[in-house]
Parts: sequence; C-alpha cells; structure tokens
Amino acid sequence: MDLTLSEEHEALVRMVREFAIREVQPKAAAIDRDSRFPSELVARMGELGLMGIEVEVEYGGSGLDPIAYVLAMEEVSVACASTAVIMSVNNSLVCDPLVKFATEAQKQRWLVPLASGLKLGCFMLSEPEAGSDAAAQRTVATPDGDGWVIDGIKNWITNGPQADVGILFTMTDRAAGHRGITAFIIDMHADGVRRGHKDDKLGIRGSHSSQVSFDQHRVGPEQLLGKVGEGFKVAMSTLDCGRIGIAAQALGIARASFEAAAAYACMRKTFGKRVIDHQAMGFLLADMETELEAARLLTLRAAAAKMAGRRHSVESAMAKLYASEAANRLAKAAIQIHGGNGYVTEFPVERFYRDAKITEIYEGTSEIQRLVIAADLLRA
Amino acid sequence: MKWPAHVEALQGAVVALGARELGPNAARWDSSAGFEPTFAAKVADWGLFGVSVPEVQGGAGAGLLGAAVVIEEIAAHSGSLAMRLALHEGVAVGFALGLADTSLLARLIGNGGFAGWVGLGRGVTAEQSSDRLRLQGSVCMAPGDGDLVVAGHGTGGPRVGFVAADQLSSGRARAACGLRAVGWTDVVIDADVEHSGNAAVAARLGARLSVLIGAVACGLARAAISQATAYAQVREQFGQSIAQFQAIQWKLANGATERDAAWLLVTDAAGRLDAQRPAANEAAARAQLAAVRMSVSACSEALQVHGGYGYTREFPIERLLRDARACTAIDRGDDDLRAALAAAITARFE
Ligand SMILES: Cc1cc2nc3c(=O)[nH]c(=O)nc-3n(C[C@H](O)[C@H](O)[C@H](O)COP(=O)(O)OP(=O)(O)OC[C@H]3O[C@@H](n4cnc5c(N)ncnc54)[C@H](O)[C@@H]3O)c2cc1C
Repeated sequence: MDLTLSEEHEALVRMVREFAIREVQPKAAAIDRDSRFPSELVARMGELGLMGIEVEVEYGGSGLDPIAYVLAMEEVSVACASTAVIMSVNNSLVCDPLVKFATEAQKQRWLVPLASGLKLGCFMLSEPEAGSDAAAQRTVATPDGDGWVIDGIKNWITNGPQADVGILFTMTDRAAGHRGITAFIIDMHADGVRRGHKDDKLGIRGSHSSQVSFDQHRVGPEQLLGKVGEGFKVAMSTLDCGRIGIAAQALGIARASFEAAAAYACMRKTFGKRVIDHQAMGFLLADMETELEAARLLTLRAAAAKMAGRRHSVESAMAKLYASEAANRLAKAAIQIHGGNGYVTEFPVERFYRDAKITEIYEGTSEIQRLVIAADLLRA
Repeated sequence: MKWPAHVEALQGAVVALGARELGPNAARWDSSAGFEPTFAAKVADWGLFGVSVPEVQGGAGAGLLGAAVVIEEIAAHSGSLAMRLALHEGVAVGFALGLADTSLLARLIGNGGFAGWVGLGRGVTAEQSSDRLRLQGSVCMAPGDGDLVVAGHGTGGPRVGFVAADQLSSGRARAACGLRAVGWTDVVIDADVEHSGNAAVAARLGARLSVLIGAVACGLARAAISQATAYAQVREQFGQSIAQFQAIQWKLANGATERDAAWLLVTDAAGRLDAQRPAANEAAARAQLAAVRMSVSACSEALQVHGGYGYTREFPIERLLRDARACTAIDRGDDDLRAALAAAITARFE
C-alpha cells in the first residue's frame, strides 16, 4: 500500500493549513476559555468546502476522497479540536449516511445544504441509558398514518444546540432487538424537537453538545433513512467512517502536542543546557514522534481501505484506538516537557490534554474498539 | 495489505516455502544453533538473495519494500533465517548496490553464503589510504563466519568496507538466547580492502538494516499473536474458552493494533528509502524502534496467553519471544535509535 500523497492532496493540505493557522489557531484559546461555538469559522469551513469533503460536487460537496478528509481534519484539529469536531460530525456522521442511504429526493433536500455548509447537522444515537450498548434504544417511533410519531431523549448530541438537520435512531420494533432500529432524517426546527442546555465539559469546549428530546414529534415517510429496521446497519456503517474522522482529530491533537513540546524543549534551558539535550526529554520526544507517525499511518490506512471500497471496521477501530490513545500520551508528555508552563492556560498544551481525552470516548470508547478488533481476530 | 503485483507474487511463493521448508525445521535450527552447511545454497536457489536488487542486475527487482515483505513472512517461521537475510540483504547487498559492483552482487545473489555486518561502535579501526581501506579489530559476536561488511572509525571519520570470509579468522562461537541459528561468532578482522564507503554509506546501510530488522520483529509478532489467538480458542478454563475473557481479548487486540502500527512504519520507511525521499533514514529508525519494542511485548503477552505451556518448548511461542528479545541487540539499540531521532528533532525545531 502506497500512502504517498498526490498533488491534489498536497494542495488541499496547504489550503487548510493556511486557514487553520491564520483564522482558527489565533482564536482557539478564547473559544476554549469562553466555551464559544465558533459560528464564523463554521461558515468559513462551508465556504472552503470543508463541510462535505467527500460529497460529490453535484450535491454541494468537494468531491474529494477519504484521504483528503483525514488530511483536512488533521490540519483543523492541530489548531482547534473543537472546531474540528463540528466539522467531523457534519462530514462523517451526517453527510456520509445521507450519501450512502438517502434517496435522490432526500439528497436534494437535505444533503445539498449540509454539504455546502449552509446548514449544520447532528447525529443522534446515544441516549442516557444507551451509550456503548447502542442497540438498547428507548426512543420510539410509533406508526401514525403514513408516518411515525417519535418520543424519547437523546444524550450528548454534538452540534445539538445549533443543528438544522439530524440523523435520528429510534426503536420501531423492540422485540426485534437491533433489527428493530430505524433511522430518520429530522428537521431540528420542527415542532416536538427540544434541545437541552449545552453540556459543561472537560474539553472541546467550543463544540456544543446537549440533550435533544422528542415529544410527539411527527415525521413523514419521506424522512425515513434507509429501510425500516435497517437503522443499526446505518449507525454502524456510519461509525466505521466516523472513527476515521476521530482518529484524524486525535492525530491533529497529537501533532499539535508534539510540535509544541519539541519547540519548547529546544528553547527552554535548565542546568545550562536545552531541555531537549537532557536525554530523558530528547528520548521522550523521539518516542512521541514515533507514535505520531504510527497513528498517521494507521489512520491513512483506514482511509485508503474506505477508498478502495473494502469493509474497514477493523482498520477504523485500530486507527481510532491507537490515535486516540497516542494523542492522550502525547498531550500528557507535552505538559511534562513544558513543566509548570504546561499546566497554565497561557500555553496551549493543557488544552490539548483536555481535548485529547474525548477521542477515547466518543464514537465508540477504546474498549469498544478493542472488542471490535478482538472479535475480528477470533473470527478469522 | 495490498502490494504491487510482483511483491504479492513473491510473498505468495514465500508463504508456500515457509509452510513446506521453514516451519518444520525452525525449532531444529534454533536448538542446534545453526543451519546445515548446504543451506545457503538452497536459499540462493529459492531466490531469497537479492530480492531488493533490480532485475537488470540479477535480482528480483522488488526493492527494499519487497525484501521487507519477504523477510516478515519468513520471520513468522524462522526468526534466525529472517535475521540472516536482513543482514545479508540490508547491508551486504545494499553495499554492493551502492557501488554498483556487479561481481560482488553476483557473489551475494549467487551461492556466496550469508554475509553479515559489523556496525559502527564495535571497536574496529578503519584507516583509508589513497586506494585501500585497512580494517582492524576483534569483534565479539559477529553474525556467522561468512563475508562481513564492516564499519569502523578512522582519522577521516567512519568508513565501511567489504571483508570476504577468507580474510577473517573466527574465534569461539557464542551461545545466544535468541536468533540462535544466525551463528554468533567472535571474529578477528585484519583486512585490506579495495572498495569502501563513507559515513553517508554507513548511515544508508544502517537505515536499510533498520527496516529489515523491523520486518523480522513484525513477522515474529504476527506469528505470536496468531498462535495466541488459536490457543485462546481451544483452551478452556472456568467452563469457557479463555478467549471469552476480556483480559485475553485485550492482549490480542492491543498486540494486533501495535503490530499493524509497527508494520506500517516499516513498510512506509522501506518505500521512502526505495524512492530516496528526504528523511527516509529517520523513518527507518522510528520503524526499528517501534517494531522491536512492539515485538518483545507482543510475544511476551502471547506467551502469557499460553500460560504455563507457553513456558515450555512444546509450543514455539518461547522461541518467538527469545528471537524478539534478540532483535533488540542487533545493530543499533533502542537508545542509539532514540539519540539519533532526538538529534533529528533538534535540527528541525531549534
Ligand atoms: C462530548 C461528547 C460528545 C458526544 N457526541 C455524540 C453525538 O454527537 N452523538 C451521539 O450519538 N453520541 C455522542 N456522544 C456519546 C458517546 O458516543 C458515548 O458517551 C459513548 O459511546 C460511551 O457511552 P456511555 O457514555 O453511555 O458509556 P457506557 O456505555 O456507560 O460505558 C461506561 C464504561 O464502560 C465501558 N464499557 C461499556 N461496555 C463495555 C463492554 N462490553 N466491555 C468493556 N467495557 C465496556 C466503556 O468503554 C466505558 O469505559 C458524545 C459524548 C460526549 C461526551
């Protein structure tokens, strides 16, 4: 497998890096401090074609491949992981299932504005009692005329406070277990959809998540995504792709941590020499870069597998598992290399540390990724 | 993973060869600490020498990437043979390729036996005169008693030269913990050689070897993880197969993920060296660092999955662990690699 980047990829990296350095990075600390949702950056990402990277041009997207998505996510995440997750949810958790499962009419109505950045999407799978065990859905969709009426509560919904459109998972046949789950496309401004207060969080504070509750919310047949009872398949195939995005987010946080630590260690002096010239620090940085590169290659491999049209659950799980844990190790090490300066908000590494943690939790915890990988090994 | 067609074909051939010729003999080679005297001729016949050499020069034309793929596959059967080939292909063949020395290449691809490597820092002195390089030193635990590529320090900086077996006197054989069939032997070097290379050549050979040591480590780990997976499914405790325990599943999942990560670093570095891309030597150092560490830990965890049986010679897992551990002692160790990488990071960030 050749993971050398094409000219087109290199050009994309240059473009996104410039945007990230000029427009995102200078605001990242304040976005975090104020827990501010960066609407102006989201709008800019729409203009730059970053909100529907893999969506075909005729549906408002940029028509690029999964590797391009990884590269763009990495660059934005280096600057601001909050801004990056807003982007990743729209790309991989909302546009992606619409590309795969929506009808032509649904694509025209929902995908085009989402991919072009005019509207923002969210993905509503988790519930207060259904996180890792996503099949334990309690939100119900009851048949009503030619449509359904939905009742239930969704938890921790990223972009929940801002979203215009949502992908919602409900139970339509409890007796059928995970084969009784059905997905819908939701107009988040419609009657019977209520958003809770934004969650107060450890990190990614500029990305807002909230509960979303449904009270006798009516949907028509034109809002059914995929087939009745196919919702779990929609969710899992979406997460197979989404995990590549989170791996790329983790990769970006890891790179930001490494670069900050390397620069600091070359500048700061103790005992008459640069920090990097103390063996314990220099060797630590060597290990950090090794893990960073390994995370990058696993993430690109998963993207390449998706590109080749192969099933990539295991590649995605390995990429997310490794990259998220590497991001946590690197962010922690970056603080250590900064000493006291690492612990104060004047330097960005404490933010990287707080932001890194979420990548081990959402879109399937590290434990869930290990279950996916082990199950595959034991099946082979 | 998908490779170019000719690399896939080679890999397929080695898979068959491994099951037929290598797997059944690996334990014997290990316990007798060597291969039979005619073995190198067989290896030459199988086409395992010169995998990285372009076809026009008589090789398989698969580049260092192809060599890594072949060596990884072989390591899953015999770590010793894989390491023998890593030294031969990485260093000796690399040296001949750099000189474009056709007669040396022919010797290395044909039946000249396995060639080994004595890297920098082993106490060899290298004095370059106008047309000859004089290499002198006595080295503990050189790989085997065949031809050697030898690096040494001299007044003009590091130099490397090719020393034919008949210019060496070999001393006592050393019984090693792992990679035993490599045939570790003390040698006294006192040779005057014609062809030599400078520090950049030594660094390039070191990088080629790093990649191939990484390939050996990855092959050992792959075999260990697959043996542990199979064992976990048949071994029952507490009324269920131990594979049902998450404590076991976690070892397998962590091992497989770390192995894939290391293998990607190895193949990526091989590709960079083949394409002569910038910073390829650094990528190679990272690959060796990650792969060897991963291999020791994956083999150790795989042994743990086997419980007490893993500790016996009834299962091959103990040999895999010994071989993986021995990989840490070949050429540059963990600390040398990290020192080189830290220097490279300093150069980029200062
Ligand atoms: C900031 C944030 C944003 C989020 N955004 C979204 C979103 O946009 N959409 C959405 O649908 N969800 C979202 N989530 C929810 C997220 O995906 C879940 O939190 C996650 O899947 C874990 O579920 P849980 O919190 O219920 O933990 P639980 O499932 O209760 O797990 C608790 C612990 O037990 C472990 N565990 C659980 N089952 C097993 C098992 N079988 N074996 C071993 N260990 C196990 C878990 O790994 C974890 O460590 C978000 C969460 C957060 C915090």
